[in-house]
Amino acid sequence: MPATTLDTFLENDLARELREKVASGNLELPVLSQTATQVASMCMDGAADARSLANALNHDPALAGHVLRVANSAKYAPVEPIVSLQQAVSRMGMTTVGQIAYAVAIGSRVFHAPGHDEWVQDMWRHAAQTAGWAREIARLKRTSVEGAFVCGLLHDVGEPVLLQAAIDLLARANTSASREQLEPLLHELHGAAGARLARAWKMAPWIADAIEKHHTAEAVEACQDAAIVLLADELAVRMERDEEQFLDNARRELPSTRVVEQLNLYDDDLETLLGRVQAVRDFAGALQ
Amino acid sequence: MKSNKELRFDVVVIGGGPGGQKAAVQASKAGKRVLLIDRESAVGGECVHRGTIPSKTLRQCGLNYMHWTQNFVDRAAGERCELAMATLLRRQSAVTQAHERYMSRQMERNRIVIWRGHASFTAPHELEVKAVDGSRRHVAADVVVIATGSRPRTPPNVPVDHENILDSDSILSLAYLPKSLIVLGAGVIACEFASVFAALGVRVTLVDKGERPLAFLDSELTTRFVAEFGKLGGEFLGRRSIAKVEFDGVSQVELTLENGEVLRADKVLCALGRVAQVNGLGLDKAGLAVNPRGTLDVDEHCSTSVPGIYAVGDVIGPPALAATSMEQGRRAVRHALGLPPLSVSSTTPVGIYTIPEMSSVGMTEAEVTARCGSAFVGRAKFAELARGHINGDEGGLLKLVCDPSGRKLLGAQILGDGATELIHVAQMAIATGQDIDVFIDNVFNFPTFAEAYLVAALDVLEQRQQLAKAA
Repeated sequence: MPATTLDTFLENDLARELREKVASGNLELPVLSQTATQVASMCMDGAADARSLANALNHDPALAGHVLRVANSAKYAPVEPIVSLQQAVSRMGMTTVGQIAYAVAIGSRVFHAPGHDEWVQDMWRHAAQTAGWAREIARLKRTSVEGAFVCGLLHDVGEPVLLQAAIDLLARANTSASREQLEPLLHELHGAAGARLARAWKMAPWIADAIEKHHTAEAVEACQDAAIVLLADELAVRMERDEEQFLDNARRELPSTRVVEQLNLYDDDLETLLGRVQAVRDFAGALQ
Repeated sequence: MKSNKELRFDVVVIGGGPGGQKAAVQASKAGKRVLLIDRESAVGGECVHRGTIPSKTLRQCGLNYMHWTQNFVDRAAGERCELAMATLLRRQSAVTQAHERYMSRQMERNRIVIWRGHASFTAPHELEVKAVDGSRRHVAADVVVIATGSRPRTPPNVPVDHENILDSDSILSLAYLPKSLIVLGAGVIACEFASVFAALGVRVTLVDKGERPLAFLDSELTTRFVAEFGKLGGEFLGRRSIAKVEFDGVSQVELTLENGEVLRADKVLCALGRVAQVNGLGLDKAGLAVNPRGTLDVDEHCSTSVPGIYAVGDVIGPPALAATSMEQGRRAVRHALGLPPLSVSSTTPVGIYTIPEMSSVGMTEAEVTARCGSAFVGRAKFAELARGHINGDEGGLLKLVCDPSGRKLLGAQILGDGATELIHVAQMAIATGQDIDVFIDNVFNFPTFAEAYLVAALDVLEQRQQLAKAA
């Protein structure tokens, strides 16, 4: 497809169709094939224990999300939304969660992003680092660490969903697009797409709210969960951008930000938080 | 280095909790220029944001849920009624916000200047206030009231991570209701949370080194509390010391006791007391120091050893109740400004918001016996009251404690629905020096729990008559 025609397609058809999909909630969450395969094999050979299953699931936010979706579905009908894998194991037992994971691993469509593998890996890395920072911020604020972890892990879940949908639509039009061409559209829609998914999966309303609002001004005004995600996101981005200068930059620039003010983090709090950088690296590394 | 010109106020209050607020309002009403400094973005302190208000809201939800399930859910027929934590948190947030708005209006109405920041002394009557963005302001005042409150105590062998091992702050933002909970400690906070979560359907184990919970209360009340807690599915394990607490990495926290027992639960709540919040206050610059208990010493006017510097609330230690903190705030400022002291009775009640509630005022049976050699005690069981049957509270008890003549009311203890409200009747009777007969000579609404006063007083009267007959 000529460049000008592709631009028109991206700006009109693709954008319109993706917006419609977001509005209707008609999007499917992709699953990382490597973890899916690992979980499937663990469940099939019967040797899996709760710890190893939880670890495997934690390696893949998309698969973890699928498990949480199924755990929250009408089939299992929990009165209270299941918000973490630990809760799922605690509530439903290892066998049931194992069965869910198995079903998800086998049944879900394996994610393929031809030409975008590196981008997808970046998404997971960012999700893991944001989840790590969200946990530490929540710990500092003495609020729900588990909830913050889930919010952090899934905060940009709309992006891989939209990417998959965009790839499908581009393939149907017999064309492709680069990361640079797709990124603005995904960025525009990912909050709404992620929140639609979270709501469709019957996750706790505050998780969907945090996913939806984490890039909006509303986040730093009214919703502490969203504010935690926003700061975690900010820290993860800064860490990815310049690992060496991360701490110096964060110390210099963060105190004047609205999100830090909203979360009431004084310089000593911020120092405590930044002191957890290695713990976040280790945690994110383990997830990846 | 000073970043701006130093400002001067008549009274500066550090901390916007119950004690700090009342101190500020009292000073403002006396026509003084008042500054209140708080680290948080909204006034109210721990009481509003992490303490009394949210925990009591959670308690009310637990109570409502318990009454509903007891009265309207036929479990035998397989009916279910379960609660989502998100619902409880929504209610908690609504109540907290409403209270915040009320307090902000009160501060505004009294023209109290509020600075958000961290205050530290630079000299006895001079403070530096550091804002979240790092900017600094300086202020001086003739009177400084320290009302910085307290925070949960974390012993070294309990690794609170706010994820699996929680404290009394982080438990209020649980993402979901756990199936099981171990509560460490048996003080007010421990017993309140233990009974509330038990009422919410969580399997709760209360573990403490003491023989009984709430050891400062009348033992008859605490024995009944343990029995009522058991009816909710809770279990109290006394005379147990903690050896180790750790998360198993998957889903359970393991508590190893020194006797070798191992208990497991989804979550553990560490409620082993609170410590005064004095970090970063620069007390040395003010010429102050904490005592071995980590609190500030004050005299009967809440004045510290440094003239013009007062301390109120949790930062001076027990009883560390919101009600007493408020009274201390008023008392401190009245003394500082040379106003006549409040005529506060010594009969301050203690309210414990467990399920069922407990409350006490004046002396206990044991205290009167120790002091006077004997005591007359009148009892009214809620099971004998029409209101007790209506409310489904048949485990409740009201005790009236009199002097050895069986006339003078010296104390009262109550366990059951409305205990913290009901106690004020006894408080007023003690404060005005009433004899026990006042409850017999007056008519109470029917059906009410207040009728328990009549029943208990009649019990004392009967004992008096028997004694007279025997003589």
